[in-house]
Amino acid sequence: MSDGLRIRGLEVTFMNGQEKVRAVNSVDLCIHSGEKLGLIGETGCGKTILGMAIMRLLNPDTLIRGQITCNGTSITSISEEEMRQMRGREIAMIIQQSLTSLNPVITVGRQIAEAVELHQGLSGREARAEVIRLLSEVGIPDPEIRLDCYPHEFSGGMNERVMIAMALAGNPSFLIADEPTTGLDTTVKNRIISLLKDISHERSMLFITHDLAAAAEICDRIAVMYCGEIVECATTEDIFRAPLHPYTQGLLASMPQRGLRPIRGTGPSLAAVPPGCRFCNRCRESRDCCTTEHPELREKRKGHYVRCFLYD
Amino acid sequence: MAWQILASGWDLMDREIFFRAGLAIIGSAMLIAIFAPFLTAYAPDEFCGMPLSEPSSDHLLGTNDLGQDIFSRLIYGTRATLIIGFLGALIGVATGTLIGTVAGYYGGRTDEVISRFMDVMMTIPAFPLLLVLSVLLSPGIYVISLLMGLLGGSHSGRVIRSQVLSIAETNHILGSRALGLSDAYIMARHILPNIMPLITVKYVFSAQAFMLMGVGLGFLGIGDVSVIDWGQMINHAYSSGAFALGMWWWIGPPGLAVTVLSIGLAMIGFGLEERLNPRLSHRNVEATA
Amino acid sequence: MIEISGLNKRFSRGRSESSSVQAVRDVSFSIKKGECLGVIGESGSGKTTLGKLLLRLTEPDSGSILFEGIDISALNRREMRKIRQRMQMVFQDPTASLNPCMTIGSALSEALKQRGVQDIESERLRLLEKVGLGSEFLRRYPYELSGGQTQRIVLARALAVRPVFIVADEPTSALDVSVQAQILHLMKDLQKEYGLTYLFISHDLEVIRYMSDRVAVMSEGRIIELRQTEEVFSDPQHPFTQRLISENEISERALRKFSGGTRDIPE
Repeated sequence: MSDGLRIRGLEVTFMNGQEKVRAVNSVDLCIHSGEKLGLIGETGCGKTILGMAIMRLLNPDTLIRGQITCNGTSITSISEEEMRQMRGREIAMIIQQSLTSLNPVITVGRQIAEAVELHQGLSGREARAEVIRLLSEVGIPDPEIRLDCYPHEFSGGMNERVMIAMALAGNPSFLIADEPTTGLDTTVKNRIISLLKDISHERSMLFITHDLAAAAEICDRIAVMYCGEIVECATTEDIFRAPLHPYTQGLLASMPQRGLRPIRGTGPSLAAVPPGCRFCNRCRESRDCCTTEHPELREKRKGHYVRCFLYD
Repeated sequence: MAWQILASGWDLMDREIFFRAGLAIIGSAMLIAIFAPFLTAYAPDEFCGMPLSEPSSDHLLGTNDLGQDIFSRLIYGTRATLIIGFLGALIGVATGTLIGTVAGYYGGRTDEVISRFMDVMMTIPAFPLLLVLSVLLSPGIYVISLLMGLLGGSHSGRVIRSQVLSIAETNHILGSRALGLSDAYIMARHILPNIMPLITVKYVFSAQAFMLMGVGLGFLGIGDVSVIDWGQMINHAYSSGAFALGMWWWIGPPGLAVTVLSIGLAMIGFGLEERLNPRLSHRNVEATA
Repeated sequence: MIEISGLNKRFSRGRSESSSVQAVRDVSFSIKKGECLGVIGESGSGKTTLGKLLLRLTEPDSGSILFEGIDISALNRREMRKIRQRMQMVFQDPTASLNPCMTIGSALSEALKQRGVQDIESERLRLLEKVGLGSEFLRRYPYELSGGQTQRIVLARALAVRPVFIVADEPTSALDVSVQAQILHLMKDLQKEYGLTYLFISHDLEVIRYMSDRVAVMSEGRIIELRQTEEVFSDPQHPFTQRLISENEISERALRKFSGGTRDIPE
């Protein structure tokens, strides 16, 4: 299938002066056309970097290895100019922290218009009409008036909608949503989640978040990331009903709704990764082999992948 | 194509080089000022040679119309220039830090009063006022530095005030107040260290500005006549007809020296600004993963 | 222990009268010793302001705050500073809660000196141990710590002055789920060990449910409901509370759907 997004063996390494930090280690992922994949993980696990790597928005001196293909085009091998053409039109990203991601001195309408002009080639009155259409598609009331407002005049939830409108301006078939619900009140969060469900009907989406409830709501499948690696990947139902990897189990158990049981210890920093399994210092099931050998991601059941010696 | 090479070269030319070069220049200047007697064969006021003579092995830069050795005068002149620049900036930034911090920390009425005061001070043209004061009072270089500092303090004060305003609302300051620490302690131990980068940069650029002002005063023949400074030397050269006579060894060096020092300070300021930012950027990798 | 009555605070944005916001409107309640009172509400409801008012980190426009019988709203700056040690605050944003120029060791020493402790060295280590951190943290700077570690240090610093009352303003909202669990457990343990009284502010209903004995619901500066935790959740009276709870249900819907098989993850 040449549709959708395929990632093979992705490695992202940062050069921090003398230090080399491998933020993403050998990731294989596959998002079929129309599918929504959730990428769950905690701060520092590399999920945002993964998203940025797909969009090729990382610093040029970051080392990227591996293959990323989107709808048949190999993102990793095309030129910057060709990538620019793809951004917004085929793949679009909804960046996190909408308040600081929007330009405070340009009106909201102007910022969306820029995207519209660029991706759809419209201008003037046509662009304006398209901006109004987009604003109402994302549920902003009175769009004709609102488009002359500045970001600081909007609430957090409305800014998030603006970011989504900008991402939709080029009518992309693939969306990457990076933490779209963080920092929002429950009421607003619910609205944004239902908006995301609406707009992703015919699109594929990579939903990056640490909000498990939101992921459960939107995604068909979920990949769990820990310390730069995918440790489990399965359907949403399987992840929540029958998680296999000890980290996934621990993560779910630490939710207030499920007993608020913490995972002991702290994870290793990406700059100082231990040999062997990266979770073993916190794992209740760890055995001797876990400290020295590094488990691979294997398919345990149909469509359910896990990286753990318990299942090898 | 050539533009790209130039642009990438600029990147490679890392501000570190600027910073080091600037330090080297100012460092040398300070050493020269301190060790002046060892570097010169003659005292600066000594009448030691034929007036208006050209550079020779005896007198590296020749002599002026009074038979004084120009090279010696140049070396000794470093002292006044540096003192005015550094001392003036010190007083200016210290004053600015004091009023800016108090205004930013307390806010409200206190801030209003201090801000009005700073606004008024900033509208007073410092240089002309200095001129008038110098003519009236004939002050020495230390008093000139003091006056400069006091008049110019408000410039740093404004900038420092706005930084302090934003720091004062942060959680760690609130936490310190909750602990019961006194305001003075909080300002000294919590706010001040966090604005040191800003203060340092302001200091360097102020030093540059005051140094030039001092030279300007000297050039106008005002300022401390008992002390040698480069501005006076240029003035002296001009009024003795050195320009007309083409005596480049008298006119050139002082002007060149001022320029070099000024650039040196600018380079330090430049390099400092760069150093002060990396602390923010290396956090980003982990934080946004 | 704490009795608030008629508390009011208005913030003016800019010079004109019309652009001001009444953050806290005529708020009155009391907190018993040893209790954890939760405050829930959406952003802008005034809960953070309320927390700061209790500690007089923001000055109230009117109203009285009785702390252990003393009306602290009437005290001058000097008298207030003496009482400050008995009431501490923990904030939401870990990155701004510690002085970036000071090492953790210095920050703890500073707090201990306030209390007048003689043997600072061993007290510091004891505090670190209490919050579950090792001695290597003394030498570190805030930027080297993770969010969870920073909140632990903030707790340690607050504990250094032996407070009896702590206002926790969204202490875990910026943290990941598993770290949040660790910090909440720590806070509960500390409460038991030191007999602390908490005012716990959050927008996360599940967290409030876990931590609080009673819950106050805030909206637009007013407390609209104040009852036992379970009562608020099972039988909300005020329509706003009902809305909050139903929105929470909606966000939990998917989770609930999948939780059939594994409510209790095997140990």
